[in-house]
Amino acid sequence: MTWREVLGIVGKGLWASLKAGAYFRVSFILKVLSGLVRAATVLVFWRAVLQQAPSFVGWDETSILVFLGCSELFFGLQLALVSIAGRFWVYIRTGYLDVYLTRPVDARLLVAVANFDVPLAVRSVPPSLVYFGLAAANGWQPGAGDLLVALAFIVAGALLLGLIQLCFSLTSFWLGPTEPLDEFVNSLYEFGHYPVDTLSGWVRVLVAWCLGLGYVATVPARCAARGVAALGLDTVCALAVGLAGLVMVWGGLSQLLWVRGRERYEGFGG
Amino acid sequence: MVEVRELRKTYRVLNRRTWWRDLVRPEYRFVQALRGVSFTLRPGESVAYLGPNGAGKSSTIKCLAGIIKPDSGTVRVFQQDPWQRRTEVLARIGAVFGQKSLLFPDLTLRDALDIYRRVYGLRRRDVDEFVEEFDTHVRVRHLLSKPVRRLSLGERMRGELMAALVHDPDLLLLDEPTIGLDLTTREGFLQLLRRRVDRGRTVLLATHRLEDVEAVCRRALLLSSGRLIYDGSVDDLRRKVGGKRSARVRYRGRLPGAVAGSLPVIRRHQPSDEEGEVEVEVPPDARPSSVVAELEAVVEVVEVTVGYPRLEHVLQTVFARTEKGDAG
Repeated sequence: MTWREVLGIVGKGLWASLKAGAYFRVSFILKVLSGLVRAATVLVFWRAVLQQAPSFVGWDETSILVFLGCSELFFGLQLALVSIAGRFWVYIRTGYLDVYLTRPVDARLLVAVANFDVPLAVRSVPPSLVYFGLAAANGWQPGAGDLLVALAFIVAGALLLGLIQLCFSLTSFWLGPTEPLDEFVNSLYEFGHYPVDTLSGWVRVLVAWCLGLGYVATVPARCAARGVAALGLDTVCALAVGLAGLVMVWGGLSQLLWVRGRERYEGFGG
Repeated sequence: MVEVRELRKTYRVLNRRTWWRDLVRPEYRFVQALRGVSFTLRPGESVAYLGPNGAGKSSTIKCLAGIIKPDSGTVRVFQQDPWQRRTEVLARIGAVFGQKSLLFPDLTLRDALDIYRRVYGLRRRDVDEFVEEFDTHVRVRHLLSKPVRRLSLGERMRGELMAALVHDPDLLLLDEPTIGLDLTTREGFLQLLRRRVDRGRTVLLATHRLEDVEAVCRRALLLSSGRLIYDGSVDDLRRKVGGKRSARVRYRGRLPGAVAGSLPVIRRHQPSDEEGEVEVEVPPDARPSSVVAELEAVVEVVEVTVGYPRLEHVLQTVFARTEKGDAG
């Protein structure tokens, strides 16, 4: 299957999922409202923090607002596109993987497409706009290029998180239900709601750069808030190479686990 | 088209004890699901794959679709190993697992078909023509714009069947495909299957419904405890087992004694001035319709109910004969 065909399937899945939002309108409106309420509580929290320390580990109010917008977009994308990766083990343990293995396409792709929830990504847009709007009111003036770089980091970061979750989920071929592992990864990624500068020492190295937590919102927010030029093109390129490396490592590991695990797969009811 | 030789598959099952023992020192037992199964399927064949629960039917189908890896033996589908060449083989296979859904719960059937159109690289026109044909046998058009989540079991099953057939597969692997279907829909689907077989498609049908088998399949494979114990025609199987089918006919008018006497074994007869009822045992080599035709010649037939021997009975009889060594 060519990349074009894969993108065609993904595109069709995204479009169908977006349309599905229209079938469940009330649920969608409630999701948007709940997102805005959550944004309000987050703002109250950060207002309290910044009143105590106007520059929180090097982040002022404007850059924190940009950070929150990036974080919101990241988790919206992650939930919409790859959140199923963490629950892939359910398909393995219940044998529901069987039906996805009857199609001439990678079953992982088909499971992801079946679970696309684009309205969740759309839901994250209004709160992000609120954060970005408040940052703009504080004098934030981003360049289009900076925003594109930030967005690229967010999308690639969401893909990376999906690969990490998938790796843990695929251990289900050996370990049985791996819900605790999924919760473990999700808990780690809760750090994504705060700049990685709050961490220190080996925890920072492990969590921020091995598990890619720095790419959740810290790196995109730095690019968007300060600008690529201010950060230095070399630094941004090094960060991009690091992210690409992580995607390759976790992607390779997930492929290995998938190939070896499939040999052990027994399905269900047979 | 399909060649299976000495297929073996063993599953490892945890022997449940106390949870802490299972955690510290798990004990396993090994269940042999397939013990050297061999058969071939030729293009245009419609074959029933029968056996009690746990006989190994689903395991065989999963090996044919490349879902699970056999322990030993060879499986060739379209002259390729489905485990090694999964994508190529699956492009020409349509599979239905009656208890598992191929559809996407939040999407409509139309959207699901659109995604599968992309998966199989079909043109929109091909899918429209397919829906047209499918709808003449199994009514689905009115369901296309409904989210799958809102469909009843029977409606969802229609969608499942449609999603499995959309690419006009050369080989159909059907595991309990008629679960939840009403009588009319089931008949329509079986008719559609027969048309596919007439067009040279191959069907392997695993089911517990003998009516489905009689409607579609000419050949039957019987599996017991992972071993193939019968491979032959459905008619031969019925003859071996003995005719226990019955035709219960409700009729208006008076059934002449001579006709009644010429009928095969009468199980029950309730003559009446208005509506009588007669239940006749259909011989193994006859069709129920021939018995009904005999009655129609002399009385007005109001209702016909054909009773089939239960699959369990067929299997039990064949198993008993297998023990004596004459099952074929």
